[in-house]
Amino acid sequence: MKIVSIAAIAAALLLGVSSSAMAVERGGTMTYARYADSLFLDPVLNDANVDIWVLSNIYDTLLLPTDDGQGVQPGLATEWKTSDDGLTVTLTLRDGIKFSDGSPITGEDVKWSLERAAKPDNGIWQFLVASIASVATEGNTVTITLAHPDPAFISALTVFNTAIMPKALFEATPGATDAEKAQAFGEHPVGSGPFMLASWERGATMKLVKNPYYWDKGEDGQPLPYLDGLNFEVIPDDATRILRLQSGEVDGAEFIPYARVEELKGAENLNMEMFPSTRVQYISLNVRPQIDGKDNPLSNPKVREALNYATNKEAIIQIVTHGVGTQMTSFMSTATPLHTGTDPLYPYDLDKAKALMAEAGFPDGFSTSLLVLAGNQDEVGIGTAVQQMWGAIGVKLELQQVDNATRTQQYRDGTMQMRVAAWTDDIADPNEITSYFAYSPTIDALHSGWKSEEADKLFEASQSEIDPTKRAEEYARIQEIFNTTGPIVPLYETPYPVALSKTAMGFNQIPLGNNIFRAAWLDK
Amino acid sequence: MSLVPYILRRLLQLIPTFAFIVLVVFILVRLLPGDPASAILGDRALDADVNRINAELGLDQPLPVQFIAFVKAIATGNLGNSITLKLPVTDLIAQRMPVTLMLTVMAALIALVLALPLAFLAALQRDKLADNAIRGVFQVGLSMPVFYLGIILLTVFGAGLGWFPVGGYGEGFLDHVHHLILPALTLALSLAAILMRNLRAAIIGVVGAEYVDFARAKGLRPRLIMIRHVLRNALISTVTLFGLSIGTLLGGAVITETVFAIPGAGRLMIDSIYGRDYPVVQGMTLALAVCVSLTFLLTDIVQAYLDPRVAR
Amino acid sequence: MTIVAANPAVRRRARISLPFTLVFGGVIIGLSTIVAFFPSLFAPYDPAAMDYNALLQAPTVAHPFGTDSFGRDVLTRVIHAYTVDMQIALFATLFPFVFGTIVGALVGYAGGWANALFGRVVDAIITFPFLVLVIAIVAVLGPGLVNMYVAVSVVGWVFYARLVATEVQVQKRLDYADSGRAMGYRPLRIIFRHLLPNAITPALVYWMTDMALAILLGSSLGYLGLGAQPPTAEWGVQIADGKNFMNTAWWISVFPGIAIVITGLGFSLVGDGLAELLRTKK
Repeated sequence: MKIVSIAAIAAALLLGVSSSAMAVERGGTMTYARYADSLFLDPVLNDANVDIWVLSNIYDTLLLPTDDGQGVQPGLATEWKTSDDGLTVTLTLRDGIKFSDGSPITGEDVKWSLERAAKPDNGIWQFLVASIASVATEGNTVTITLAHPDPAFISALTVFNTAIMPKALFEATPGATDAEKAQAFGEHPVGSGPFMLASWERGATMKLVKNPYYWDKGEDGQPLPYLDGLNFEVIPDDATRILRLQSGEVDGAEFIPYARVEELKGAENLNMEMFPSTRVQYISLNVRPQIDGKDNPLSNPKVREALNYATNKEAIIQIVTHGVGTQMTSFMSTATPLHTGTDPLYPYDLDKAKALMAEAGFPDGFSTSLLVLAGNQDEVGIGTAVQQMWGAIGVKLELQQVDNATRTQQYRDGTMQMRVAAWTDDIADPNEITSYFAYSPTIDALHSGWKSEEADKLFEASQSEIDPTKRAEEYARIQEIFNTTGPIVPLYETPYPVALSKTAMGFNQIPLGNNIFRAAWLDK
Repeated sequence: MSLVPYILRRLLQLIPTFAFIVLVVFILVRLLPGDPASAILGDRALDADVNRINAELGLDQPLPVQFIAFVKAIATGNLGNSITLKLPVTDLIAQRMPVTLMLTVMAALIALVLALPLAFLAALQRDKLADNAIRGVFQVGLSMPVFYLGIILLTVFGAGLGWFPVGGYGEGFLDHVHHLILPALTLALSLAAILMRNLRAAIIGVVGAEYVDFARAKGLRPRLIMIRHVLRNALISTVTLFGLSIGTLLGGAVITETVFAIPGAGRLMIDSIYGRDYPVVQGMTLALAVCVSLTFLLTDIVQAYLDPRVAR
Repeated sequence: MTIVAANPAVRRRARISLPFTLVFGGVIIGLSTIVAFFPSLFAPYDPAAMDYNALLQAPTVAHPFGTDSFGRDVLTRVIHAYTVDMQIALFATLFPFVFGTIVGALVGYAGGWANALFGRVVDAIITFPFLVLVIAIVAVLGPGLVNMYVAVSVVGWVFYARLVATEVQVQKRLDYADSGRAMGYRPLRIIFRHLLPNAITPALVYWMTDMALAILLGSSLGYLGLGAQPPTAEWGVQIADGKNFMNTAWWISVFPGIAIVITGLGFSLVGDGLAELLRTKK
């Protein structure tokens, strides 16, 4: 079964054709303003989006996500094939590939990198490649044996933690353990991505320069990247990030607040881009029968339904996202593969909500509380809006602004009533979000205490289901169960708002969040 | 009064103070809900991962054991490694502290330069136009939140007129100064207002006091009276206030640093509190305490010089 | 202010002529206090009511100060915020002022070991990272105004104590204190009836500035999410909320800002006036 996605290649070609109307220019350094600095540049042991979203510029993977983030295209490997029983994946390495220090990438590097990623207890992303049993290489051929069929495995080979690292260099790094070596290596990383790290002033600037050995070619037939350099500047304040872009000191800025999207769309020297994303925003509910020894009204499915119907999502989309967001049609985003559903979940219906509250035995409502992240405008906005909306069905909502660690603790301990939350996929497959949301063994369905035997069984089956149609059916049913009885109040999905100067071209942020600069260029 | 023994005595007295602060912070950060592992790993963390990482960090040990290990490490000049940034805390202090110190020193200078002459002018022109204008402007400055004032300054003098860079810290000393002028001004304005108001009131008070009348009667020239008597006496409480405010300035630069994208100690501190990065919070507390108490000591010396009667 | 009123000389003079600044400041604070007690009498709408069809509206006759991003009437919220902000101004500074002044007077008079001990306490408090303290208090007790008062008070009293102690040290060496001792007055009487009225001016002036600073701190904490909690209307939080709209809906943050300026001005004038009153009595 050969899965080289012809559609994806065709799409890439089309994009190439359409943008070649304007000839690309080479050279120059692009400066991109980020809201926070990276923490740890190790593909396997990192823990956060601030790392994940830039890693692919330094480290390359065997396969790459397509520009729409949903498919797979060749990377360090040119071809890939899954055996009919789904237990063996064979890949062909590209000829002449090198790390950014000029040393060749060997089968040994690939074997070591993948096995490191798959080693239990090595980092928090191991689950993505947990199915790897062994890796063997011979010449240009890499053979991966899986412990069980894994329908998401090809996608996993595009994910940051399967990046190929130079084994010899890593092992020569000082440090007694893998973790210590990774810390030292992460300060001076060597990979095979389009750029390599030149200098890094923590909390301020990260400077990358062109990797002269990068394998891919640009439209002009010369090696990518087009840029000589790429600087990341850390500017945590939204207003300052935008000002810096407007003053021309940076070429792009991420996380534009929704409130300013409309304003920047009208700016003459800027392109306000809305990159499709897998981001969903929701309120997570604790549905255990009791919390702290007190009866919990949220354990009643009718109450949850009532809260859902009493939530005017369209109004929240206007208030909080200023029209940027769209209503959710399933708990997973429309950009997640195998998403089903066309109609917004729980259209606003106050009468129905009131009736449901009465049926549930709470005609006069009840008091409860909602955790929001302190100082986060979106979350505080959502809290303030639902506080008002739920007041209409008698629910007295107390907002509690807390810092992230406090909230995480209450979330994990199951002592909170509800919280505002957001999710972004890390892999182009529905299995990650579903595992956390609907499959109770992972984290108790968002630490809610919710459990559906049927959903659990379906998920387990889907994890080794290699028939795409059957897998899609399983996911359709899981979504139906979770969307009608699940422990969340879905709010909206939003794209990634990125503002670029008119001269910054070819940048892409895929739905998983990765910032991709391999084909970025400056129109001088 | 001999200053050297006084300074030595004060420096010695600081050591138990530091020990006390470090102990309190050590306990306080561990009392905060949440732990480093779940702060780093976030919502998706699995119990196994959280427990494994906390154990790796030695946080499953009893508090006294952790504290003894910490004290032993300090004794050898090792403040540990940052949990989130994976760097030695001493490196982080060396990177971040100078930035914040420079910002604070510049802010303090600006505050003094603004406050001292204007306070004199206001006091001498009491209740006249100049006085009212000065007081009015400072009142507005005092009423503007740092993040708001900062954005306005950046909009006007940065993006608008292009006189100053829009945030950041730059490279090289002069470039640093250039980058830090607007943030220092932002930080300085409320301190300037406090000092101005205090000094104005003090001058008005001193000018009316008997000994100035006495000096005048003795036939001292007005300028001499101004410098020798009025300034000296009026400055006493202003210097006290200034010394006390330096601590607030140093520790409170976090919002200014955030708005102006300056990689300073304040931002590192708050990130580390939120990230439950215990070693960094402890190390930075110690570093900040050293800086604050040295400046504080300095203002005490100035005060002793201004008025030897305030002996300690 | 009890200390001021307790001094017969002040009371006599106060009846004769009050400084203009004191009167003017007093009027501002008086009116603010009335609004703070009865906001509903002045506010045209319900402060929490949202109008989804009137988001971010510029000032009109119906909404003289415009509406915010939730469609709430900004004028109404500015008026209702008087209740909270006058409380912040008072409660965040009253304890530090009273406690700090008393400690400062005693320490300044006693000198010696008391002063040395006090010096260590000041060192410890001044050098302690304020933000760690606030975040710790908020994390343990939960966010909200009362916890903010606690955090501010723990640190704030030191300022007053130091100011008063320094002044008392100066005053006690002047002639009149010696004559008080010679006349056999008890130390407490000398401190509170003779030294303090002369030494309190800087603390008093600072107190009035501190009230404006307290409101401002509420705003900084609001920026960090540690101040007043929604749906409470508070000027600082309103300004923080308006930050994203500085270009497109300036009215969200400018009107609360003006309210802070006016109230702060009122306190400052009262402070200057009181200082003048204390001085003229000499």
